[in-house]
Amino acid sequence: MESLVSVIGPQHAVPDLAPRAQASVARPALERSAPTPRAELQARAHAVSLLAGVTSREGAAPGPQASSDGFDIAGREGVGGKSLLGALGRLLESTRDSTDAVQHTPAGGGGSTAAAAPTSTAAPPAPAAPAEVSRPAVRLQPPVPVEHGQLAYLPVAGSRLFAQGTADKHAIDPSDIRQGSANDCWLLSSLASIAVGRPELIERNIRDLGDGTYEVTLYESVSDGLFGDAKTFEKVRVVIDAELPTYEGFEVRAYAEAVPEDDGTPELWAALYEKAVAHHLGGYGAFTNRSGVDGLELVSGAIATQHIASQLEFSQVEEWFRKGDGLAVVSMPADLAPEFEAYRDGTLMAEHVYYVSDVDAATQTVEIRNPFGWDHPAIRMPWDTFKHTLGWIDHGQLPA
Amino acid sequence: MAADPRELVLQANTQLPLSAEVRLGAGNFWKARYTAPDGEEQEGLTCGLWIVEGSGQPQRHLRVHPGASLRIADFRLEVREISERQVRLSITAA
Repeated sequence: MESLVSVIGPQHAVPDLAPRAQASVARPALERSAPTPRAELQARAHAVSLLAGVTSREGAAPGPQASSDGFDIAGREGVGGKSLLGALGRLLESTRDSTDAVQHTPAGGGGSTAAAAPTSTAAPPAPAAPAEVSRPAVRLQPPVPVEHGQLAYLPVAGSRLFAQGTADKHAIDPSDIRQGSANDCWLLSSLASIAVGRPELIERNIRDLGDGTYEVTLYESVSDGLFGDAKTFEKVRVVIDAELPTYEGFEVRAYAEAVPEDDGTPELWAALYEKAVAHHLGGYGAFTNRSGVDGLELVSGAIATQHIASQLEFSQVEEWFRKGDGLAVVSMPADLAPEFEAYRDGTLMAEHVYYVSDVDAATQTVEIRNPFGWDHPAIRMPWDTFKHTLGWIDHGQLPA
Repeated sequence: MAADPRELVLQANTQLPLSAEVRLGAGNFWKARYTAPDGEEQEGLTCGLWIVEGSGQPQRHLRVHPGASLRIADFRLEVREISERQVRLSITAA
């Protein structure tokens, strides 16, 4: 029997069981989140976290906190005006809580290198059949806390799950990715890297259920392999709708954008992946202190390893790239970065996770890109410069 | 007349939209020497801003310090405070 796996923490115990038909068209229920200590101290009245609804496959009872139109928007104000300024102004009022406080980690609030794995390239156990755990079926995941006020979960008009632009090699293309205000360069660069080498892996792990919802398959590590056993993963199937945290009154997403293709069609897959991972981890504020290894494993279910760039040979990186493996790159820590011109002049961002977009054997160069989007230029470097300017390479040997 | 200034906090290595076309990213937080608005040489935390002003426009990079002001598209920004991994900005629609 097909089972869906969900992770429901105490804060998520709000089983809003709206009817299926309504769930596919109505906006999700919104609730005021529990105030954070900082919010309490600052006595900010309008920091509203907007939460998505939950529907079971079988369920058909309205949730206790949903209003008649599916919204409960206590304290919400209109943004007014025709810029995001009003909405952005409230960011101060809804400054991220202590759980999202930035720690000085080696990569973008996201990348972690503290547990750098040895440079072993031993073949991982067959990743094609990770375990599946039976847990109660959940149609839509529990609410996702959003840190900033004045955001609403809204559909993206005219969007499609996948759309192929004229310059795209595949409908799933790294140019579809644009990071927003979440600290998830590690995830988006991992996705972009997989889109470069193995887009079909993403395609088969995100499924349109035909009723306005999508199933995203993630892979959770259940054994770390530290005691001689193989590292293993279990499938976690997350079902979400396509509504994204959006500044009210504007067609701009707060987190990963549904980047429009050249015909103007917004493409959803990257933002839906991010939303699914936010559900899985506990919210858009739960992305910090992770690495490309985490992202590659979470998306692919295959073991990933972290390597010190200066200890690798170009031929190894070139081979990985040629095979279509996932390659995320962690830049230098901020305390070392000022020694390098590439950081001083803004070519590179310290403690950030990039992805490898090309490796050229003829010129011995490596090209990386920023998950901030394709309007940030590609950065190509000779290998000798690259390996001393970037810190680590996260390698995921992706399943066939 | 310009609208009232608002404040926003930009976290390191993330970006925020100021409008549908304009995005602002922050990163590379480190100490550096700079000339404060009062003309005095100081050493303190500075950060990089990455600015995209619309599709097809080249992305720009600036290094800013507390008290710096800049204009991005139709917005006027003033850097209020820089801490280890975030910058607090005052922003006014021109």
